Amino acid sequence: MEAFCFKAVRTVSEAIDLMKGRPPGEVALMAGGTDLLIRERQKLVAFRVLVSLRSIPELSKIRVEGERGMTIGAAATLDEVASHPHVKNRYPILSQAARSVASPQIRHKATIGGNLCLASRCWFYNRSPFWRAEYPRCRKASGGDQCYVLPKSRKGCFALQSGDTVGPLVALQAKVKLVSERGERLLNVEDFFLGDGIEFLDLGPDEMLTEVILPRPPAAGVFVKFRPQNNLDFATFTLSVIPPRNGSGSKIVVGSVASRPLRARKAETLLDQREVGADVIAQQAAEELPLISFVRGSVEFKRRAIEAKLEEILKAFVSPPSRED
Amino acid sequence: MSAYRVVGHPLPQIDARERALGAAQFVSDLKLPRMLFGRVLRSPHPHARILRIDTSKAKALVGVKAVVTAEDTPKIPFGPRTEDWTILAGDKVRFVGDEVAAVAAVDEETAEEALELIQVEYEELPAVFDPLEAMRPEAPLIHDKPKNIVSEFHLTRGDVEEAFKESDFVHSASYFTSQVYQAYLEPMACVTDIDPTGKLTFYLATQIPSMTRLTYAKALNLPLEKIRVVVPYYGGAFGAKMETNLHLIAAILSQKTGRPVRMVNPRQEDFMAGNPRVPMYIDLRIGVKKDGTLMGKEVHVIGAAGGRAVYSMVIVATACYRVDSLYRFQNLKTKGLTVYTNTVPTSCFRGFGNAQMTFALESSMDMIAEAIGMDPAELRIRNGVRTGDVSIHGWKIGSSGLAECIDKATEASHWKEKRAEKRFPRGIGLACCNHVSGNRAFAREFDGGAGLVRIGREGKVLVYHGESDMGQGQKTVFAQIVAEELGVPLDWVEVAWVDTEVSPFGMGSFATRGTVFGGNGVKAAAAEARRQILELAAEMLEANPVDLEIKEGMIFVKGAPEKSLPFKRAAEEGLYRRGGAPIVGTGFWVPDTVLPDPVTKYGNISPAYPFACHIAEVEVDTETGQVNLLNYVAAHDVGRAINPQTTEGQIHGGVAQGIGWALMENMITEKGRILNPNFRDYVVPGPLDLPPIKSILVEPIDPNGPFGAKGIGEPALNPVPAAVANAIYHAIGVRITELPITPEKILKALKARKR
Amino acid sequence: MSTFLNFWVNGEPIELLVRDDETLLDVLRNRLMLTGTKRGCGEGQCGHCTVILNGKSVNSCLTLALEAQGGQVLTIEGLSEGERLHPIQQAYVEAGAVQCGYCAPGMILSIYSLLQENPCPDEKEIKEGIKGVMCRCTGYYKVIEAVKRVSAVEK
Repeated sequence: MEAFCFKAVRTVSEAIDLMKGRPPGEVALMAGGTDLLIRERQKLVAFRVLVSLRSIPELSKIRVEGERGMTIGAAATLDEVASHPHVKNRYPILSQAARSVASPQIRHKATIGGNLCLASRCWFYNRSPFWRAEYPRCRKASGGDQCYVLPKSRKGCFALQSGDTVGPLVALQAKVKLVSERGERLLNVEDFFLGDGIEFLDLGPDEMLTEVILPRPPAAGVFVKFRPQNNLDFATFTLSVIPPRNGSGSKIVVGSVASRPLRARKAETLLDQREVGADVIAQQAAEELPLISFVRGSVEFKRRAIEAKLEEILKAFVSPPSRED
Repeated sequence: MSAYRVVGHPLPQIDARERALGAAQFVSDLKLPRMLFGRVLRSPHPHARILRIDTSKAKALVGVKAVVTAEDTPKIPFGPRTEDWTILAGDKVRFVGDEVAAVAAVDEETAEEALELIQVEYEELPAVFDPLEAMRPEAPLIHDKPKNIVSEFHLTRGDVEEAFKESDFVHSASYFTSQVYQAYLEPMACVTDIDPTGKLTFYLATQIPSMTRLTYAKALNLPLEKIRVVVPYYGGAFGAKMETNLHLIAAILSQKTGRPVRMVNPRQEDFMAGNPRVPMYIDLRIGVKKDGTLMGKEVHVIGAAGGRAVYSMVIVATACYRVDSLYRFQNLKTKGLTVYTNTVPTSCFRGFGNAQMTFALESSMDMIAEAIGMDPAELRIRNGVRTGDVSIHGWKIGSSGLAECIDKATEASHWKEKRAEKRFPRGIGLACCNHVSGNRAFAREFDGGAGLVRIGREGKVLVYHGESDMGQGQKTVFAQIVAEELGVPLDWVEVAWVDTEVSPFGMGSFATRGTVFGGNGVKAAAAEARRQILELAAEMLEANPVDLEIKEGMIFVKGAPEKSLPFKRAAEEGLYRRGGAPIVGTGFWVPDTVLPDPVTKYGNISPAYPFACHIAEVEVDTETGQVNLLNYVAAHDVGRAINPQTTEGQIHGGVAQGIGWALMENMITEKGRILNPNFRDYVVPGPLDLPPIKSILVEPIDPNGPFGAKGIGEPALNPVPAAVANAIYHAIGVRITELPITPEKILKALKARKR
Repeated sequence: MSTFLNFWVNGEPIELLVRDDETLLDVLRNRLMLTGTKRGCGEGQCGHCTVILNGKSVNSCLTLALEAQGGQVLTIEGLSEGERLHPIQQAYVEAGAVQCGYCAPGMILSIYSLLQENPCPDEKEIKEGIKGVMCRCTGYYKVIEAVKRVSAVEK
């Protein structure tokens, strides 16, 4: 059985060249490979050429642009991002999120680009063929007409955005640089996610994510990764909260609960205004999020837990609760 | 400090170096010349008839050396206790993962590819997944039996209804204990080899080398002498590694190809087709007097066997009546049913039914204590069996450290103060357990342990036993016992791999019997070897053997230490004086146990009964339902700790596993198929999940155990789920009677309480 | 598709023809017969396949052999010097952290990696540092003790 062939490239343009003109999916880009290789073994993806990006020096550079922000090469490992002094000091929620992923072994290989592009996950999808055979009509796995998470849905896929650094990057208003033979474009991370479990990212089949661009650091925020156990599992949800500066700019981003990171915009406005208590803001946020029931927890459980954790976080940013009863 | 030189000292395992170096050869590391790699084709259906199997395409794949189906096996029904196994499925498959066909190829990848080329036509049959459903008359029948009942267990003593009438309070509760996966680190694995005469050698990760050989001889229709079992290092078991079709399939492939075959379950398959814990429905009714005296107990247990019976019926039986010898029950009515279901066959997991029942009983004891206004610790002490008791089933309690365990645990955990405070949402809970050190009822053949101790010319001592070291430190304990008995330094003693060609017949390591049975066996063998070497030394020293002592490898005359002779010299000289024959001592130990009466179940089944008391302290997050374990105390009556370090290691591991079962592990299934067959979604405790732990060893010195020792393996886990559940109740007033205790269950219960 | 792989394993130069899709784990175990590194799950969850690649601990089951091209791999076999145990192995044995030993190689190399980055970890840092390796026998208690022992000695 012909598997794939491995090509180590030295420049971004070499990688782009290899993708040029190929049918979608035939060429796969690999930086850390900690998710890609699993999906390949589970036969969720099949590629003929695996392009290893580890040997492109500029792709893993982390550059501080003074007070203007910083750029992080897409192939910088999560460990490098987490422990970079400037990230730790000025963008602590990103450092914490990177550090919260899996284990040291994974973080030594997995990259921020990979974490951003992490394929959306689903209990019914991320399985080997033996198990998927029980779900033959899954829209994502076999192009079928059903969703086993929301059987009543008539279309769409609800696989979850699962990279832990995504929430913080949205909260930090980061941008991504995408490169193809047609040139470069910049996108807000928030817009990088399309909100569908299948057509998950605004990333063309011949495009490559090369850089994450962080603007000037905002106020230090708080990142929480909630999971039933402290160990390796993916989050039930992540919370990235940035408090306002001069009455604006708050961010409340909830990750891993939908196919895209969710912003609780109404709650953000309340946080900007600082006129109500943490409990009210947390409740608003929990209620405005479109959550779905999933194996990790029912909607009710998630709403409660999100509200509880948010209230804890927000207490540091607003005055005591307004509830008098 | 220990009264002995070697026994009683905390020492690293004697082969810890090899393991830490990565040099120890585990079963899945073994490579033999011309070895092939095998894989199993497993059923995707929980219940189906096999209409047709076409292996032609698989056979034609380059690198494939054999493809086998039931047609290539003797098709003799067999099983460890029943006869409902076949090596490969014949007419039907009975669970998702059932073995249908198998392949041997030159490498693992080719074997996997070949599996995909085997075409099987199934006719799906209605399936049943819950034992309560499977018991119904209209349920689809899984085996050729009129009902899906594997076995029934009944036991009555005294008059339970009378007892309830005389009780001041009759408590009743229902429980469900979940099916959980042992998650041993090395998946099920084996290497089989065959010689030109058809003799098979099995290199197995097995807890029961000798018993396995008996079962496999029957299954393969071979005389016993054609089967040899060798036990290399293996990565854990916790009960799971007994008989398994994987081994037999490898043997068939070796027979077909004439070559060694290695088979290792990919982890997902191990989840799917291992032998997880028997899930049980338990109904309890207990009558008690105001003063805390337990009057009577009525028990109903229903356990799921899965698609075929491994040891589930023995486990259900154990669940039914082992706890009767924890407290001084006088009136009992017990019924247990083991039921076939179209799910993965269930079997032994640390605790063996006693763990399941301990969760139920110890949760109930807490509820009873509350109902009568008594301290839960006091209730246990009041009713606990004591040294010298003969329990209601005739179990002779040679020593009981239960009360001391409770005293020490409550003291170490500041029980009284913490129970008195109302520190919502913090709480503290207690649970006790009893267990056995070996179980006579498990096998009809015999009960006992044996050993063989060989003294080489350099004075090196080699010990043979028939039990199994799955990492718990069995070899080390045996070496310590032999070193102590012989009077030599520990590092002169080595313990050989179990090899059924040479090793004594051992029942194996289960039922927490290893230290007592294997230990007493090797102790007897060492005593015999000692007698022989002293006889020789006596000649050499011109002294009376009775007057000789051995200390630190020196043999000397008592009271005249200058008349001495190095042990090594005696060994060497012995060789020369006896035509080259080494000193070999064989010995055995038969305990004072009986096969219980089949109807009354009466009879002393174990030589030594360990006890324990655990106390857990928790804090519950009432917003998210998460349980934070703050502290844990585990006090264990171990008779005497032969090796306090390995004993403590067992306690640590048992508590960790128990916490996993209590709070986080769950084999989520749908229509008989496990949905989380991997470590991402089946979460076992990691270092951040576990509380600080204090282990306390209580040593009443048992009259029967070697140097007074009892077992530790299973008691280390038994009390954990109840201790945690009781602590949660104390913390937030919520009683969960179903494992695992998840955040969602806690939140639901809190919400229900508010209404 | 096969490619020549040139790399160092435990200080020794190795040249092998490997399949492009072969994992580092398979090369170590099946081609170089270094069976100290174990396979526990094949998905990067258990950590039993941990090796040190270019100074960083990684799951070798999620590393293609060719990713080690021109690089340095340290396996458990390379940690000890002849008969002498590495101080981490010594502490591990003495603290009683070995039970079945299946996770010992992965755990010991994780500790090695942890102490490289943080020579004096506190208890929480130790737990975070070893969480990538699953142990079912010990409850991690004596493993943590072993790390404290060896980091105290190194101090």
